[in-house]
Amino acid sequence: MQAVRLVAAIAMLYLVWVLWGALMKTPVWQLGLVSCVLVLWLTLRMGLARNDLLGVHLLHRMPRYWVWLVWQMVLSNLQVLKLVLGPRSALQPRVVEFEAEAGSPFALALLGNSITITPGTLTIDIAQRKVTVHCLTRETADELLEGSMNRRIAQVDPD
Amino acid sequence: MNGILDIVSGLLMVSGALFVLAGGIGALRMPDFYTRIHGASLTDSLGPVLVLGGLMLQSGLSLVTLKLAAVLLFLMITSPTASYALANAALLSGLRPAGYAGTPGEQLEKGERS
Repeated sequence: MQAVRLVAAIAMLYLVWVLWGALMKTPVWQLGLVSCVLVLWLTLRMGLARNDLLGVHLLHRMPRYWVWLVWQMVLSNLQVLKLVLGPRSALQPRVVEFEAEAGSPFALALLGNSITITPGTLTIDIAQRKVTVHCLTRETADELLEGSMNRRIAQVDPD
Repeated sequence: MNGILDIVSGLLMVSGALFVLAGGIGALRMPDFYTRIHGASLTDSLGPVLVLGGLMLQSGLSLVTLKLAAVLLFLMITSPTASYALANAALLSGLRPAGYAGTPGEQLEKGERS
């Protein structure tokens, strides 16, 4: 069973490598294969090949979340653009903490990264479900604590 | 049609470049470490989305567009992870942001386990 998984992983990696614009010349495609095996070996060595890491079964719920996230990014980018170019006195840095609604590793990683990728909020620590966020202004902190991002991620990964 | 597409993709790329520039300005202008990361984060959120979006319009429906989309996806996953790693490393090595009274989770967990 493990062998099947390893071969499947190498096949997937090689497919991606081919898609990335493979040169099917003699020393090159073998090198591609070698690099796939190398990646797999490094991944196993780091102990990252666990089943719970990637929420592949949740992928169908992601597009809707991404659309919302891109809109949030547009809003917060414009907000921070104003702060960057405006007077420094407009900054009111503060740290807030809240509990994540969904506690799976995938949901926590998604939450932390979503917070960080919207400028104005920066995840600085995640311990179990407690998320610590550095906010640039009172408004960004209030928006975050209002919790719509937290709720949406709990909808994406409801376990 | 081609003309309009060119104009739209040019506008996307230029505005993306402006966001990247603003990120650079932000990293220089902000007063302390954590706020500097906020300023610099302009560089890796909407900036690449706009630039790569403009490039995708240029390449049309082809394998190149798929590759650009993959680049964008990986950037959207890795750049906030890198920002988090930077901020968390600063926090764990003792640089406390203003108004932070808690204990960083990693230290807490280690303390509880031992």
